This record gives sequence, structure tokens and C-alpha cells, in this order.
Amino acid sequence: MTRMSEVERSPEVAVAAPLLAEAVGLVAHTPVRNSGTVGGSLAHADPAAELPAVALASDAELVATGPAGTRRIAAVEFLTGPFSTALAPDEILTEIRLPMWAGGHAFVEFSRIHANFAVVGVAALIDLDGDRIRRAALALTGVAPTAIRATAAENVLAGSDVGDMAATAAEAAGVAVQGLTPAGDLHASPQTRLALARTYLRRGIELAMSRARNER
Amino acid sequence: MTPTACTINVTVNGHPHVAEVEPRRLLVDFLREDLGLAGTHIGCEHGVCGTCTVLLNGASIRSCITFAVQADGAEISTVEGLARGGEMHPLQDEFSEKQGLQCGYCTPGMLMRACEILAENPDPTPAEVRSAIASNLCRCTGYQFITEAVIGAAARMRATKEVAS
Repeated sequence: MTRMSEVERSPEVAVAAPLLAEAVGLVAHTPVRNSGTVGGSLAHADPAAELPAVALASDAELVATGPAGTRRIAAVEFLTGPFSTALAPDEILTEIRLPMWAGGHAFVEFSRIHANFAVVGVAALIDLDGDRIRRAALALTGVAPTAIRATAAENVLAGSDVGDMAATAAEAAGVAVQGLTPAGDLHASPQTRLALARTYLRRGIELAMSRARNER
Repeated sequence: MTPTACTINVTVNGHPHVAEVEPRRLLVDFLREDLGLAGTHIGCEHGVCGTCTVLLNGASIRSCITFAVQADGAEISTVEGLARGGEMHPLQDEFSEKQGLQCGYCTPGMLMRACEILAENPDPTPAEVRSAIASNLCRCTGYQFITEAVIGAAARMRATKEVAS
């Protein structure tokens, strides 16, 4: 039952899970974050919410507790559909385990109105080995029935040189949106969502890359 | 099925209350109907507009999507607690002075949110105030006068070393 505002202000979270800290700051407004919890957002599983994408990109493990005991669920297994999770009716989410990430992070999103739900959001984690990307993790919100990992784009990034960050990020962003078929609604058409996803992927990847460089 | 009543202990504007409430009783209804503190308004009734904003242990929350039982053991501050002995709080004074209200519907929520803003940062910039009050909707003033009122109150409170909430 950790309130989002507690996470937002925690110096420990800022160091250990900066992606979570950055994403939490984008969730609605202070009065909402004073009440809303991190676990609540994950268990609610809104396809446009930030925190499911953070859990996915971070390879989080979610601990469910019920009458039969506790079990750990990988984030990718946890999100089963819009507003749907792997939690059984008699289970509640009691713990969120986020592995530490050594490199750079970024959470970026497009929202029509300050603090509204994002139309599209991107979580990016990039770990460097010299001038090469050792490991990348990308997750998207707003383009599918759940938050999704962009595995093909992660594979493009892994091993690539960061000498030309813009070109590398643009290539990965292009690969990430291939095959996506987002639904349109009154906030954005499918085409707009794809264009936004591509733009925000590029920005997120570049920001995570530059932070990874500066942290060395 | 009749819901079982729960006993709650809450301190509202410094006054302790022990009350029996149904588990489903909303905090805003508890404040307005059970305690008669109708200064806290009900607007959208789903946590969006912010006019029901009160402080729970100093943190702004939407009382329309909070159950009264969630406030058990907590200190609640509402707009009725701002004025002291007939003397307006600097925020109220400045909202009046700078015309930070027209119809007044959003005002209780705006004032309580402003308390929290100034408790966190006694000297905010106008841009910081505008960003922070984006949590509360006003359909009359366009926010400019509200921002000016909060900035004006902040200056007065710094001068008199008054604490916001």
C-alpha cells in the first residue's frame, strides 16, 4: 500500500528505481498521487497507465497473496488484457519486486492535457558497455490492449554503437512500431498513435542513452 | 443486508470526533452531512474536479472518492478550519482581494490545495502555482487570479511566518 506520492519523494527509490520515480511523477496530480498506490495502478491494469510499462520494462516480479499462499508472477504474465490481470479473484497484489538497472532510464509520454492519461507512453532502459549498448528494455503504453514490451527494437539496440544516438534511436523506434495495430478512439486515431509511439520511442531511447553515458 | 457500522476516530480542524459510519460512507458526505461542515463541495463525484479536496494528515485528497473509514485516526483539515477567530486566513483574504473566485464552487478545494502547495514551498513561482493547481478545475476565473492570490498569500505568510496548514 505504498502511495505514489511516497514513491515520488523517496530518495531511495530515486536511486534504486529511477524509472519508477520518473513515471510516478507523470501519474495525474498530487491529490491523486496522495491517495493512489503503485500496487493499485498495476492491479487496475489500465492500458494507458504508466506503471504497467515500468513493471514490464524492468522485468518486475509481482507477488500475489491469497488463501493458497503467495506466488510470484512475472510482469509479462501479469498483464492479461485491458483492466485484466493474472490475479485470481481471491488474490491481492502484496509486493512488487523491481530488479536494479545499472544504466540510463527514461519515461516519456504524450498527453493532451497536463496530467491526463497519456495517449502514448514509453519506458526505456539502456545499459552501456563502452560505446556499445549492452542491454536495452523498452515498453509502450497506449498502443495495445495492455502495456507491451518492444522486444524486436531491444534486439536492434543491443550491441549497437551509440556514436550516432539519433540514428540508432530512430531505427529502433521504426522497428518497435512495426506490426502494432492500436485502436483509435476520441483521443487519437490509430495512425496518430503509431506516429506518437515512434516519436516518443525515439525521444525515450535517446534520453536513456544520454543518461547512461552521463552516469558513467 | 444492512452494512455494519464502524466506529471511527477523526480529528477535524483540531476537534476530535468519534462517529459511527457505514463502511460505504464517503468522507465528503461524512463531513457535510454528519458533521455539518458543508464548506467542502461535491462536484464531479469521481475524483476529477477537485472541489471536494481536503487535507488528510496534511496531504490533499479527494474526499468524494475516499471512505470515511479510511480517515480513522487521521487529522482532516477543511475550509472551515482556515479562518481563526473571525480573522480570514491570508489565502482567503487574497482570494477575495485578487478576485480569485467568481461563482465560488471550486474555492474550498482550491484553498485547501493552496495550503498544501505553500506548506511544501512557501515561495513558489507563478508557473509552479499554475502547474500545482492544475489538479483543481475552475470554470470562471481562468486561473490567473487564483495564481495571483496564492502568490500574494505566500508573500504575506512569509512576512508573518505563518504556516500554511
